[in-house]
Amino acid sequence: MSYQFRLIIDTLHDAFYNMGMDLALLESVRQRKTLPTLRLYGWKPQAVSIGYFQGIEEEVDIPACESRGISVVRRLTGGGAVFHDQEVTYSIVIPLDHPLASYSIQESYAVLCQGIIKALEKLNIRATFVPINDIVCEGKKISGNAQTRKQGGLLQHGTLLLSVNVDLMFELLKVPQEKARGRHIQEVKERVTALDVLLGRPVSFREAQEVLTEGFAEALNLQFKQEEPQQNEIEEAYKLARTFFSSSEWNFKRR
Amino acid sequence: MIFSFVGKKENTKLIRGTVELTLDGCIKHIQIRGDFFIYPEDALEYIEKSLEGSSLSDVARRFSWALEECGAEALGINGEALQIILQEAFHSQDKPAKEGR
Repeated sequence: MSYQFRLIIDTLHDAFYNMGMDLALLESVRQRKTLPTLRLYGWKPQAVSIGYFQGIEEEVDIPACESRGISVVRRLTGGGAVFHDQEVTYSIVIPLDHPLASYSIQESYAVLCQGIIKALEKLNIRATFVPINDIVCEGKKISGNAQTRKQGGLLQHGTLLLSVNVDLMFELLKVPQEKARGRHIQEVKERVTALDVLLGRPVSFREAQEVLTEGFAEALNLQFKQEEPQQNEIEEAYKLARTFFSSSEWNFKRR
Repeated sequence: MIFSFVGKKENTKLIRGTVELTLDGCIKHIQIRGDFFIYPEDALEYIEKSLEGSSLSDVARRFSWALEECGAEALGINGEALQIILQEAFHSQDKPAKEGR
């Protein structure tokens, strides 16, 4: 049996809209105004997102971001700081009474991440899920994922790196010594990889969207109906971007 | 006494934050930050509130109790790790304050 899902093949948006749209989709899906949804999107301008429980100034070099026109936004989800540059981001939104949401939280990370692992398989890349929330290839991280469950809905979003500028990433993100565990910064940098490195060729945004669509469909047994976001979802996303996700109150909480 | 704490233990994410202790070494106020997950997210504020009045040696028990009390689930953070990180940070302070019991 396959599950009916809505597929949104989205384009590049700013950080605040992207987070606003993910929350707008969560609202729509939990209110059963739409089918469970997979959205594939990107970021323009480049952005840093931080986890729900992080302190923005501890994690991000704000002046460095500002000088480069890079936005910083707090996510609804936990997890770590992410530099969003050359990547495809997915968000999958499911009502909590859906069979795909019936697993424990830790199990559901493993289940939903199979979509990305299957997508990588289509590119002849063998990857594995590493608890709590990472996908690793040849010992290096290629995808980070984060989930929240709110008022009857599950939202998981995550990244698939097309290419990575580790020097810029580590210029923008502050890596605590405790996380480096005595390793030199170069070793920490070498723990991240991307599709262009693994394949020896560039992978376009569109190609990555296609393999992710196929990967999620096969791994989770989804039957997609491709649609644009509804007008009310777009309006809600812009409203949330303007009033919530770009606010200092939200982004600078937990300091 | 106010100090920061940060650490990463086996099976946890990075746990950091700021804590203020009373003169007798109990937690007056604590804010916990990091790249862990707690579901629902707003349970962390309840957990932090529940740790007020606790000695550092009782943090693990109070954390677990508060988590259970609000029906929350944590990934990448637990009371035992938080307690150890807090105690390590406390003992690394220069000030001769004593930990409360």
